[in-house]
Amino acid sequence: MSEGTGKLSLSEFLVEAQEIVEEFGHSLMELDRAVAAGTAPPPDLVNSCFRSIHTLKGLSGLSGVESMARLSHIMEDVLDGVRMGRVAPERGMLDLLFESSELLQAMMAAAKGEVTEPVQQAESLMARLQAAAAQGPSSDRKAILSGLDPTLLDVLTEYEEHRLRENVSSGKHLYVVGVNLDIVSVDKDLDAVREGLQGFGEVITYLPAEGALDDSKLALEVLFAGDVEAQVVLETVQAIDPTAQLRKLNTAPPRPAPLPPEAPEVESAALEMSLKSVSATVRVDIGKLDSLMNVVGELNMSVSALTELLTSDEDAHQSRSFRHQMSKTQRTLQRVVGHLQQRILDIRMVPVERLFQKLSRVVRKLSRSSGKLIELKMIGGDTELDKLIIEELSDPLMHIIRNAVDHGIEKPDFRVRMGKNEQGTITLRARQQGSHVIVEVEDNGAGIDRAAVIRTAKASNLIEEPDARDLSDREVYNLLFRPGFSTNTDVTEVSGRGVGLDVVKTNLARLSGIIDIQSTPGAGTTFILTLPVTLAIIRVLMVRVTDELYAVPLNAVMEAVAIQPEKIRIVGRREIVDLRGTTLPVLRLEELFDLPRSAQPPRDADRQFMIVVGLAQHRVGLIVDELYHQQDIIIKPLGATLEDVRGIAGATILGSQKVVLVLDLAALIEDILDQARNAA
Amino acid sequence: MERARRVLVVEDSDAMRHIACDVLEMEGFEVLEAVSGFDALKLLAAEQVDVVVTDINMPDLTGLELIKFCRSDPKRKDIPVIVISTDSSAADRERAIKLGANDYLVKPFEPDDLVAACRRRIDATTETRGGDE
Repeated sequence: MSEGTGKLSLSEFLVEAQEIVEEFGHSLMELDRAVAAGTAPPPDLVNSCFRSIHTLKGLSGLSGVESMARLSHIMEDVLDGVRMGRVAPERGMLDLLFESSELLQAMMAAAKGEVTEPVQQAESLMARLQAAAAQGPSSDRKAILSGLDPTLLDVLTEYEEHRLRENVSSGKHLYVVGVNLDIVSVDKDLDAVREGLQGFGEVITYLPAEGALDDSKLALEVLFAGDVEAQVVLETVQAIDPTAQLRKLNTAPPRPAPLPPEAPEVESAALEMSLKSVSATVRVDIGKLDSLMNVVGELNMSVSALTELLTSDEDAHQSRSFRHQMSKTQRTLQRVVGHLQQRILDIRMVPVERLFQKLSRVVRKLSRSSGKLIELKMIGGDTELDKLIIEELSDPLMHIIRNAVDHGIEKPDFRVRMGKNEQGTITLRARQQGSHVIVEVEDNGAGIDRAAVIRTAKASNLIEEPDARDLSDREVYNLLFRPGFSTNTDVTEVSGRGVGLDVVKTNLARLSGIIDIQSTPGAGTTFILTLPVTLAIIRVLMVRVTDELYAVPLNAVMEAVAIQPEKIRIVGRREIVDLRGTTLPVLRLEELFDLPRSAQPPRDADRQFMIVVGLAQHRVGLIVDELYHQQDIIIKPLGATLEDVRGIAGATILGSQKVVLVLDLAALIEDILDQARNAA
Repeated sequence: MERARRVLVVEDSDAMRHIACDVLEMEGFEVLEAVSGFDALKLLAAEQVDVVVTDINMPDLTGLELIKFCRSDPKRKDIPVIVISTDSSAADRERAIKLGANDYLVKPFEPDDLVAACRRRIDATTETRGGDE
């Protein structure tokens, strides 16, 4: 067993400890505000302070930072006293906690070796904390709760029982609401329940129950205390789970009847408190955002229609000033709709930070199992991407990282022999570039061995002998994405799972993403993923092929060039074109879709346009007759009968009410590459 | 061939969970991680688990509730549960045992104790089932 297993490394400890102490500091400030305002501190807040310090105590014990373990132990006693109602949260006590929080910071600095251990200060503070923790008697628990089912009490923690007692003794009703929730969304649903009930009282806990409707459901009981009638509670919960059922608990012995004039006052105080603690975030089903986006799309179309109407000559009989006013209004409307669209897109955006964090755990794990030393650096975690894209990105990134650990980073002794730091580095980098986000996975490992890749490709019958010599680096790297390619001479635990990089490519293509590789032998490899920021609205280039208009998703468009027809050569039975040293297969929509020849003669017989479209690492030249403008569109599905038409992703409606087909470049490119392969 | 024994570690502190997972993985256990009680419920519903190692003090769904869930579910009532928690509440410890926790380790725990507890519980389960695997 390696040294230090089971102990937390100091740096790891400090990272989490820092977070905990900061969070504790924030909660403490809130607590201070509540106490200063003369309101009772919200139980949730006190409990979260307690939990922070509780966790810190355990961590510092495990990592052997004795001073912090001792201090947090005493702080925990004090906070336990507060949450259990034994210690009053008054000013002096809060001051002690603030002082403790600062001392914890000093202790962390000392653990890093930045300052000397504040020993004396600690001793004095701990003595004062101890005195604070000792005050106050504990309340009589059995008497108040004697009317309740004892098996219910068994499952509550001491704190939950305390909250229950507090609520019962202040005359609140106790309700148990039975719910059946989908396992997949149980935490989200319960958050919704908690939020819904927040204004009416306190959710004390959730208890697992028997009688789940089926295997995909969890039966739970929500224990709730509040001032409201059963009907209100039930209806609130039924908004989330229509099958919810409620029973009221008997809280005998009966409480003394509350004094009537007091009641409204209590209620308004409770309401005020609950308003303060309402969270500033709202959870929304992403489907709702999609439909909202569709509505904005329609709005956009109406604005475009209005614009066209205003610019057409048919309205010439309208007075000048009327037209002027209309134009002004129309421009304002356009701007506002644009803002609205942007705001909705913003809601879908989440930072890649969470995903990066998840990957850091993967790297740790792989680093251990492979016996390689790896440091993970994360840059640009605040870069935002559409939620749906982030979800889909997790697997490909995981795969690329596995690949980097397995094939990139060398063993420590080998690295040292090569004159490198024995610890390898993997860097995750994200940044926004226009309407794209670039995510890079860079390792400073061995780089890609060109010769080895070619050898493997030959062994797997992916290429023929004569081709191999002329391949550019880019073409060699592309081999890595071919199905059936594997350089695993010995299958390793890390990436030997029978899945190749071809899956990464496929997943990215589904997101309209592009992948590129840069590599320097001996110095490392970088995988560069280019992704659209969002999938909800796409920007397209409008083009004409014969007499038909098509929308080409701009996220796959590399460039558009004018091209002389004679530059297109025929090799085998395929058309190809050379563009700055790269050979591209040519795609003609009129052949693919069997379009009739254009009625109008080509405007310029000597010149055509070619759009270079790229998907993952592939490039294809799409020949078109005319290029028009770019615009934002919302793709609509074609409907069941046309759903399976290959090469069409959907349709969009322009301001003029004209329907335009949107090309599915992933399918088109895949087909043409297949043909090229079969022809070869 | 004997399959790797699977341990579900339920703990909301990242660092604490990593330690427990590291120790167990080093000793050849297959480890599933849950960052909350609900996370654990989801995993228990979807995966075969041999031992559950859980913290008590977690937000929303506590370790005690998790034990109760395991014990009340016919499919999971025999899964051994090992509780790791601080010594702060004797009452919570008593309740954990009463609800059917098989072991109780006090944080900061000795890594060897955790491994030993997991082994012991798995052996005990295999024995009572007559070693049928």
